[in-house]
Amino acid sequence: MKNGKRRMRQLLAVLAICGVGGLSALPASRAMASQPGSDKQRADIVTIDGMQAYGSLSQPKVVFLHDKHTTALGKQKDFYKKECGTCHTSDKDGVMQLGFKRDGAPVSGEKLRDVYHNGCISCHKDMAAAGQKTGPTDVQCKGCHNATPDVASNWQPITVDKRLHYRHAATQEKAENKCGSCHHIYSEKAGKTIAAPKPEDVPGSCSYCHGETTTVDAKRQPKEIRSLRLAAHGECVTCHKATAAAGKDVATGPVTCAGCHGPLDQKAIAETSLKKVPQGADLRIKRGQPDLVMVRPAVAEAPLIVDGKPVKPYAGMPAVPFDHKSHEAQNETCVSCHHASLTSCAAKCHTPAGNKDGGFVTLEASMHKVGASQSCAGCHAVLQKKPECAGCHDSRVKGVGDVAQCGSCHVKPEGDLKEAAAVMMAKPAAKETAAAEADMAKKLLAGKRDVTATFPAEDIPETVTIGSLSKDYEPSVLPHRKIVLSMLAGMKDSKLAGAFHAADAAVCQGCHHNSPASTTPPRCSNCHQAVETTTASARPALKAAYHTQCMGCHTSMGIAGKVVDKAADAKPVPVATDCTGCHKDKKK
Amino acid sequence: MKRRHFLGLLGAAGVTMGTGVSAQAASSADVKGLPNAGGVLFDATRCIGCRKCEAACNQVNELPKPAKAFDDLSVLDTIRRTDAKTYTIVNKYVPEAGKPPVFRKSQCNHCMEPACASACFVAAFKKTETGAVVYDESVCVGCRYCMVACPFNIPTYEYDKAFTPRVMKCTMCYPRLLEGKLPGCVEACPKEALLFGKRRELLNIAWDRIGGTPGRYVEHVYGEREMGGTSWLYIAPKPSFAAIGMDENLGTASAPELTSGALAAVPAVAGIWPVLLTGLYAITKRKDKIAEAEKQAAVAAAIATASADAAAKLSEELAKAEVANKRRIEVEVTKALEAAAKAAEEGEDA
Repeated sequence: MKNGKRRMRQLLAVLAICGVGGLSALPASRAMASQPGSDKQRADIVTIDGMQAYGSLSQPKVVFLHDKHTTALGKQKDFYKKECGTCHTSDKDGVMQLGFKRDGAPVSGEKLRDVYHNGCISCHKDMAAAGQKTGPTDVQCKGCHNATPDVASNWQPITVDKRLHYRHAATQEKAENKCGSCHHIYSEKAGKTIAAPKPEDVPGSCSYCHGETTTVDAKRQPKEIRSLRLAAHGECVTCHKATAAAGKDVATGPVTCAGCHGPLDQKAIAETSLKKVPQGADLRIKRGQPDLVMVRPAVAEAPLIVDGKPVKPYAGMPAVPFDHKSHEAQNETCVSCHHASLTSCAAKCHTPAGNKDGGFVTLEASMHKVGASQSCAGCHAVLQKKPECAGCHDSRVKGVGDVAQCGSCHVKPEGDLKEAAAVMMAKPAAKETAAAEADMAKKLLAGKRDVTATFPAEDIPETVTIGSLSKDYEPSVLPHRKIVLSMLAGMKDSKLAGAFHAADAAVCQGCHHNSPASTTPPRCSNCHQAVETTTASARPALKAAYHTQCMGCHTSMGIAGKVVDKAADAKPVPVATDCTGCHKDKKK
Repeated sequence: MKRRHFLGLLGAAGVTMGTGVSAQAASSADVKGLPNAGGVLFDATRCIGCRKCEAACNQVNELPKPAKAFDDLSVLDTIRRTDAKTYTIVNKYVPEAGKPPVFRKSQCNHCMEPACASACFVAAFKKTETGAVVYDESVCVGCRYCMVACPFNIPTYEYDKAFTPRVMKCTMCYPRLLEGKLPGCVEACPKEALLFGKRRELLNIAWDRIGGTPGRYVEHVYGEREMGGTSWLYIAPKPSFAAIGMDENLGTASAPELTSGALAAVPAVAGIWPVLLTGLYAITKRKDKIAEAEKQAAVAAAIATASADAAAKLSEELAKAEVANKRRIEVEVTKALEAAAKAAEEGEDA
């Protein structure tokens, strides 16, 4: 018995030790697990697969972490005095090549492979010999050729938005050629690319010349136009690096992958931009663009002859008065609309009949195609998907795509303007006509609203009781005025909504659709029959019409099940299956 | 039964099938001339998963009350199927994580050329003018071929009834249709996610909805061509019908088209069954007998050959032994003679 007790004591002691040991080990292991976890999402993954150009790969692609290498080398200043030059060569003008240890000259497959193998492994070996922590040194292929890397990319493209452009321009304020610091053009006379001499020479976005891949133009020198990727890294990173090297206190941009392409860093850039750009600063990127313009519709090449006389082209579809300045303010870059060049859409690419340069997209399609975000209608359709707009616009053709709405953009000149428009449109658009066109556009747009308005609140019925179908449930009491006012509140900051919701009753038509706009719209049951029959109709019967209308809007706006009312005793907007949320059960 | 015997049986069935002239399925004749067949269009973008259709179906068909009430939406958390007490069910699917769920109602699709009817050798199923595929329990023999044949897994069986089990499935509320009323589920739907009408008109409405709201729907009307077309039609939000549990690989051929040969032979095979089986039994029995006789003969022959060989060998060995013995005797005799001669010689000398 005594013996048993002693044994028990020993056992307990052992258990206690194990327990303490286990617990103390737990936080340590957790910390270890979380350390690499935070590093799993990376913006600096460079996939080395250049050998693909020479046939199928015999080994998995190499997942190379660029920032990891630059950080490691950065700590080795004495060891690697060449910095970027450790891996990247430069040409005679000092421009860094982006390929690893080679220039742009074509190489054979074997050579390319050897460049990587010798370059990577020898460096790793040297570092290992110097007692440094380093990458794979042996002939174990899997060390680099890892088909299942434990890192994932969170790389994002970076956009030089208006604020970022402003910040860059501000750094060059004192420079002799402000724009030319970054923007270059090809000069036939010089036979090479030169800094854009004057602001008006700037061709616009880099992407207009530098495409997805490197292109070759035999007629010019240098023949190659670098891909956007090569051009951006070559120019931006080199400049950032040079600026940083020139002076310690000069603020400059990132040189690491994550610095520009990491989601967190991008957020930081945007926050800094908000702080650094003074309030009320003019953010417009000036490329000689107009504030206001008349966008002319496509006209027939041969005018229509009526009674032996040619009909004036403008007599067809009126031109669109367009507030360019306001649209600039709504977009981050010019590329949002001017996706291929800054010239007029119709000038070279989207001609009335369409051509190869424009992918055979006609002028009409380029303006109205709903699926293309660069077209007018396409961009507006994207905006209609915003929750505050989607309630009405999700299921209705109203707005974009509604042929009854042509006049919203193609404003018909009335009165005195009629004659002026005729005179103006008889002449082709040119620099001389710009001022007159701007003036015309201003006058035509004067009638547009800046904000959406409707009838005075007291004229909007406060509640509407829907009870004509009441059978299992009590009639539903609709908080009519509250709904209208909350819809208005949702679009109070939208100039676009103001311009397009032209009449006071436009907002009403979100629900009171398909009937003439009026303060006394017809009852729903005038069109939607109360009795459901076995004859199928595209027009829903009354019960379905009510339910589809209310539930559809709540779902599209994303408010079903949420409290949207600011009142203290506010209830959430009923979800679709919450019958008693809208009408009480009669049985209970 | 051995495998080869079973295959033999199948071969025999094939022969009878070949001789059966009519390769037409029972139902094809019923379908012709149904341009005004009714149908129901189900729009998955409208369904909210309220289960009102299930409740109405239960009520109008006087089916037993379910364990959980119809307003208990927690039922939707598990994927269900139709059973003998439930003609229709609504299931919840989440095609894209983080996006709202999509609901899909399931019931008999009332095929234009029903697989169940073509599989039924007593013609218990019939495609009616209304579009409804109806079932006549009075002729049903309970073979449940219909359940195997249905590509949508709809017909179910009253396994709990010992004496009068029936095949149970949605009737499209056939009795109500005859009275000019809507099917129970359609009438109860608060959102017209279910729309009753002539099938050809429903197809137009379906395609209008798809074209009228670009990007919302999968550009396909499920049931327009599936299995030769069904009276119940479906349109669904993107990404796919598969995402709401529907088989997108059924093909466009109707069940009778696919199986007319084999299934049309079913009645014939059923009739000929006893004869066929008896015949096959006799054939296999006879084969067995012959085989047995052959085997015995072979064994006898083998034994005979073996004994002949043995005898030959024995005699050969014996002959060899004889020769050897003779030699030995000769040698011994010679030796003895020589010895005797020697002794005689010595004696003379002495």
